[in-house]
Amino acid sequence: MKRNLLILSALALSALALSALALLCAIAFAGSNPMNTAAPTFSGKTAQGQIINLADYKGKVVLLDFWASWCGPCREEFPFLVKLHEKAKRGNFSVIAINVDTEIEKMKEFLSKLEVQPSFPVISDAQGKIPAMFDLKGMPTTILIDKKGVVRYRHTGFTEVEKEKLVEEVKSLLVE
Amino acid sequence: MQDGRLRKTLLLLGVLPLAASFTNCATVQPWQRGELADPIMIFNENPIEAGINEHYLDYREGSTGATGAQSGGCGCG
Repeated sequence: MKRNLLILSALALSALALSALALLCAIAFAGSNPMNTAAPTFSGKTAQGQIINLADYKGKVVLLDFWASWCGPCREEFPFLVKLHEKAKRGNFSVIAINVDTEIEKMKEFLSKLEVQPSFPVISDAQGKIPAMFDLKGMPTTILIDKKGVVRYRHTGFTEVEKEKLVEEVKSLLVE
Repeated sequence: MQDGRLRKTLLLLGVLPLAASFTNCATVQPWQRGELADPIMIFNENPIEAGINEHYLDYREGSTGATGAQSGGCGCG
């Protein structure tokens, strides 16, 4: 009888310990990409089949834009990023847009309706591998990476206020 | 008698966390919310009519709120 109780106690304790361990693991392995740390390296493919590696952009200020055609603020932000890129591309600056639509056709449809076509690469990441690396909290997420490849600024969502902030941040990173 | 109760409690303590670990809850990540952001997921197709309904309900019931979150589904609203 006592032996049975001991076994049951051990079982109960081990189950509790396992649950606690699982919870701790989930917290520890949740994707995180804090500020002022090196941006995770990734590569992705554009709709035209061009392979884009973040590592190739070292020495440039990079604006990563995670967007989707189903997200309203992303649709508002995209034309602004096209303009920003046109203005600043000569000064060691590039935008890399990462589209997370599960259907690439929806991305193409959105891009085809733009007044000015983007001259920066637009990666299609239907599986969402790249956003998982950057631990996104919402859409769109705009991340600014400095010339050394360090994540410096991060914006979730997009409003009019964001426009000025982004311009100022790009400027400050370009003069570093 | 007491042994039996203790055994049941311990068994429950063992089984509950195990059962909880089998639930496989998954978080829908912001980039996976395409289906949720679809206009078909909006309960009130006509926002003006919904606003009017909400307004008179506020007065009739003397209470307000609990009519859903204001968001486009992408976690940015």
